[in-house]
Amino acid sequence: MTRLTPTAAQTVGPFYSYGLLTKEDCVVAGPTALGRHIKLVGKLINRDGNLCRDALIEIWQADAAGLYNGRDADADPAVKGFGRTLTDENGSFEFQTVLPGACPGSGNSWQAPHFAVGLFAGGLTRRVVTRIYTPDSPELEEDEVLTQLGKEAAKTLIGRWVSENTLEFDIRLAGEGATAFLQD
Amino acid sequence: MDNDRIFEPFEDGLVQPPYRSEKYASTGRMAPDNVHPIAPRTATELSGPIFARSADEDRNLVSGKGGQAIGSLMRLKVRVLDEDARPQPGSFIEIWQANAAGKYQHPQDQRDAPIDPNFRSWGRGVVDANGEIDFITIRPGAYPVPNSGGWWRPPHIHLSAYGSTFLSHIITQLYFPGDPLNEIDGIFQGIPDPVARERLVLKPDADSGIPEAALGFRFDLVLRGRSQTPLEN
Ligand SMILES: [Fe+3]
Repeated sequence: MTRLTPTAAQTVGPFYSYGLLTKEDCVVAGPTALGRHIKLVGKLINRDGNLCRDALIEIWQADAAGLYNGRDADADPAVKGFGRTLTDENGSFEFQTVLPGACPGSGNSWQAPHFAVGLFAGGLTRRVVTRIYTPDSPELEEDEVLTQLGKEAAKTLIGRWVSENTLEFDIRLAGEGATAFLQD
Repeated sequence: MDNDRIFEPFEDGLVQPPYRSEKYASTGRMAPDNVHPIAPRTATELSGPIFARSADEDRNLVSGKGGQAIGSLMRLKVRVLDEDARPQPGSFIEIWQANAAGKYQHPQDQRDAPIDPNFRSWGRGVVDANGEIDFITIRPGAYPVPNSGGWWRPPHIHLSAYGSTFLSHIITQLYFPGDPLNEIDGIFQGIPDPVARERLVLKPDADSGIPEAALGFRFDLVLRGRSQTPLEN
């Protein structure tokens, strides 16, 4: 079997998106989607503690039943599952979506509800990935990614509810309180 | 799902650029501290968004209202494969680039260089049944990196590709063969393996061009992961 080496990544650079990104790209789930409609908000912070503008943030998630669009036949058609946006001049991002459901992990285990996050920015040579979890999911204890990370690192992947329907998660690239990232 | 498949060993070696690079100063402020040796390959990473087809004119960057964009016209043919060399129809490709003067049509590009009203700085489209897509564009110009002490980026085309999974999304840059600036570019040279660098260089190809109108260039893109379709006999 031929085994090809994947193409090397390069930075997204400072000039992404003029014409490529639309306002709707940050809408992950439409108004008719089943489940709890939420906003996922946060900021991107670099090693110097500065807020980073014009970074491309993308998320991929399951629907409220834990099913993935394009993979699971019964997935909610109103949940695209995918969203992307640029951080604004304050380094902030915002997605409109629904809370994902738990989805199967390996064996009989469950993964706690989570958003996969991909991050691209000037000064980042390649994609950086992590996950965002919610603080109140019963499956957090058995989630394999969190277990593998260990308690301290796992804590940095838990968002916080700042209002009934707004989940906040700041991404700290480095320094004090840095977010744990996964190999991409 | 197998337990030993959920966490794959990390085996990028010298193929992918490290997060930190002395030649690319802003990586010092952006490089992540805590990248854990864990690469989940669950339902999450092995599924991904499906993109709608876009209009044919979305692959033509050079036909403005007032005529053709200025510069050396070229047709870029991209072939998209997975790690098993299977074509990846349905992949979604986006490109963006500077114009022939090295100027981006973007509010953050503050340099005093001319905008070309007939050049559109982006293209996008879905890969066809053979795993191919083509764009009509111009060869972009080099441009200086602000506050860098004289660093000019070599001519390059930015490319983003979404394959069938979240895992497979890549953003990269395509370079032109033989450009002297390639040798001293902090971003291109950030890839340690010279063979991996060479794979980001476009291949001139007469059959991909348009006779007496556009140069032809080819690019083979290999996305991470393997398509799920079973092997044929
Ligand atoms: Fe560029």
